[in-house]
Amino acid sequence: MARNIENLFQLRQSPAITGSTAKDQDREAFLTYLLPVKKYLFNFIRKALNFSPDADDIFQEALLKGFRYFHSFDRRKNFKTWIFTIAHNLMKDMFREKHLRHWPVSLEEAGEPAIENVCFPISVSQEVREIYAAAAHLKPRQREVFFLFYYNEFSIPEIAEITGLTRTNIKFILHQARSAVKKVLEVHE
Amino acid sequence: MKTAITEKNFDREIRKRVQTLEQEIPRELENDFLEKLDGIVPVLPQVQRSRFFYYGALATAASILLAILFLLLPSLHRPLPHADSQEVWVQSAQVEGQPASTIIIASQDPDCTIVWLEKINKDKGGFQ
Repeated sequence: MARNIENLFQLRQSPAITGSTAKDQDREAFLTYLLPVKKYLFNFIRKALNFSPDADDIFQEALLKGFRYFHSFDRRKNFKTWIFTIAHNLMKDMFREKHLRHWPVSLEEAGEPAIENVCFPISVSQEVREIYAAAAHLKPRQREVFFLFYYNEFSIPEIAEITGLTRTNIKFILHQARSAVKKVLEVHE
Repeated sequence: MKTAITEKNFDREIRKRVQTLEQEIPRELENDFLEKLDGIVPVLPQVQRSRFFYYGALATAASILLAILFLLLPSLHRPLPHADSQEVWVQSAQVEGQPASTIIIASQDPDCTIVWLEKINKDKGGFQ
């Protein structure tokens, strides 16, 4: 009996009967994986890029690239880390491209808006704005690690996996970012 | 109530403040993404072989090389000098300046080798 129900279920899932193709199934699977992650990815990219208009393009490109190479994703691994790695690589490429195009202008000057020009929602308090103003002074890599750690709450090994850097390096970058933010916020003992 | 950031509460306060600002994905951006998704053709992965496949290939290559070396070894090996004839004539054999009494010859191989000489027994006179 159980076998019959199982067979019936498989028949109902069969693409020939439902009319769905392999691509449709991939799409559904990808969107299912993406659903709990996409909001955090979107906000991370915006914050890491200092609320630049490029953030929307990077976000969309990351999702499309993720879908294109979804077959190569090992389902036993963490999807969140995987999609963030794609976003990290796209951001890195963008900085490299801008750096070359605007040479010899620094990365920060190459296309990131001043934090004063960013339109925050009215509900955002001054003390929150202060943090973003302080983070805006960080180098792109420091800012990325800073938000991966504080906003997305990734662990050091996960950040190392996303960025392709060593754990020691991540700790060092995080230390630099902390010191820089403390300096701007004038944090004392 | 504003909490001042200190060295002690730095991580907690920063995390709290950074996580306060969370924006929703704009509807247009999401719709645009879903539209573009239809045009994307997923890249099928190449066959992922386990590492044992590569170890096996390495072991096979090594064994083939060893087999070739083993086959070539006899031809590479320099042959020992040998006698031209099966018949060996011993004209004289001496041990410490005296005629030898016994001559032992490795007889299974045409390459004859004198392996032992003994002193002649003078009482019996000459070879036995």
